Amino acid sequence: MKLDSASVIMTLGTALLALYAIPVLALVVSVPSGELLIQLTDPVVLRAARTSLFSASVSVFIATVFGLPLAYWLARANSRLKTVVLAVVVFPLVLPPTVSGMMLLTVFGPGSLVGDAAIVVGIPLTRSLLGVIFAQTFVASPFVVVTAKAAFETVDVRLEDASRSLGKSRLVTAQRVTLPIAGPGILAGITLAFARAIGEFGATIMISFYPRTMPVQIWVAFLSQGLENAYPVAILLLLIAAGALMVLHTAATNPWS
Amino acid sequence: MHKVIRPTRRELLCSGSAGALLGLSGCLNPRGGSAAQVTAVEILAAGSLQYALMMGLVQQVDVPIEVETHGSATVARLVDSGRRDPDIVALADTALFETLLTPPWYVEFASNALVVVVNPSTDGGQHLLDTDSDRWYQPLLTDHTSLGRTDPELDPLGYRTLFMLSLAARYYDVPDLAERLLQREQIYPETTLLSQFETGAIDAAVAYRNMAIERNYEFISLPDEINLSHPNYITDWYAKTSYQLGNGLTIEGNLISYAATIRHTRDASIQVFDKLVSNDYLTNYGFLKREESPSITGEAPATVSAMFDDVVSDHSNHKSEKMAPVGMLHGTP
Repeated sequence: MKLDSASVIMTLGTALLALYAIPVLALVVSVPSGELLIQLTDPVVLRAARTSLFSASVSVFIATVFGLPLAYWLARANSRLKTVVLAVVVFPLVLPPTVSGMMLLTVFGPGSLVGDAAIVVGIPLTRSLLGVIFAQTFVASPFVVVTAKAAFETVDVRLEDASRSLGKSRLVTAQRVTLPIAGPGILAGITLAFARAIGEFGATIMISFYPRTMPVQIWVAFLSQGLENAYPVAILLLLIAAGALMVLHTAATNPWS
Repeated sequence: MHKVIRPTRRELLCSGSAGALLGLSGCLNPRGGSAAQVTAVEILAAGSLQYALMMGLVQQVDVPIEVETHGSATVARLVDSGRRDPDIVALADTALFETLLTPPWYVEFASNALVVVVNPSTDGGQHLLDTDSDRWYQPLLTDHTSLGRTDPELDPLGYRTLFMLSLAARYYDVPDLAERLLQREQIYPETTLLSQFETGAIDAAVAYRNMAIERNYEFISLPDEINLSHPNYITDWYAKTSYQLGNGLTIEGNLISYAATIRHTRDASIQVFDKLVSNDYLTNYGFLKREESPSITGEAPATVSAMFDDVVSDHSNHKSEKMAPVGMLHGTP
């Protein structure tokens, strides 16, 4: 049989897709639908779902607002410093999340200068929703920065120069030229960051066991009664994440003005 | 220049993505349960207590409780380093209260036993279940049945497994039992062990009795002489074994004993503690109640010792002179 390039490409892609899909499919098949419904009505699970959805959304919002300027600088700067800064940005990606959690706990937890000050003011940075957002932002935001940097690099500097030479300000140029072209790339980064944030476990469990997120709830379910009990919660997490990403992409690709 | 005239992309970025995400969750109440966080009694506990505390203890008190669990050693380190500040600490090993945390007092409130959990859906597991329960170790000596255990360097279950096997060698009079059974590749972290076991990757594993009961595992009960659960066998059996950790510290075989202490003495935490150590509920989850428990070690503050109003000093107690058995706690506020 002669292999043409199209079928080779198809086979490779399908093999990887199968790697992703088969375990999830096995997971779904192994859980009776009744069990899923029971979990769906458990107030503890629902609270975890709300916490996860909210915290991941806020984390990604923060990652985007703070990440895009940094990504743009990284894409445009000619400084030697750039490599160093990029290395710093990928620190959270390299570190095991549990280690990230311990580091954050050391710097911002009880007993630290910042942590104690925050507790005095009444906004504890650990064991709180803020702590969850903190952990998720730390671990997930590099995805926005790294991906948006690559997206900004595809924007031809001459287009920005043309806009500036026609009298538009930097801000207007960014709004009308740079961001629209880099948009799909940035959206990819936001997608990755959201997925990473909502699935974040290692750092979160060190910083804030409460309020529980879905991954922590899965862990607790597993510790309590084993895999069988953890699976339905895991499926729920997948459904929520998929739903949220679908909403995000629909909103992003169907401009309403 | 056609790409330039796509102003709607800005909405993608500003209102589309982040805005949609926020809008999505804006209607949610992210602080659900926050009212409970204000007054909740925080319990930092050994992982094995998670289910019993959440299902059993919560029912018994009208104060909101927040249970956070890790391995006992992790719990001790988190508290010792000031990273956690719980009202109550409950650990699966009193040694941690003697060496790492050293609170002024603690109460031992339950025991547990080692069992061999068996997966009936594997051939090896089925074979093990078909074997006489007093010869449970024989199929494990063959290549057909695989045993899993945890790392003695990392958690108490790991070195307690070694204690049990060395006691089993004596009990069944098979001197080289431990050497023949133990292989490096049997070792998994505790939670990985259970995943491997549940999915059938290993046929059997040494685990705590409560794990087997809570998760509906089939299991083989072991004789009290070797299962580390019975106070009568401490001196003549359990204490005859020991294990030297990589750091040189030698751990002696002893009874499996759960202990707890209060760190922030307030009405709510005393009420929860009272129920926590009066271990009626724990037996439903596979833990073992000792006749002597709960028993107090050390000097408890007046507010706490007031709860122990029928303390009987009994210096013949099996553990040590400083430990005296007490009755069930009274006087819940």
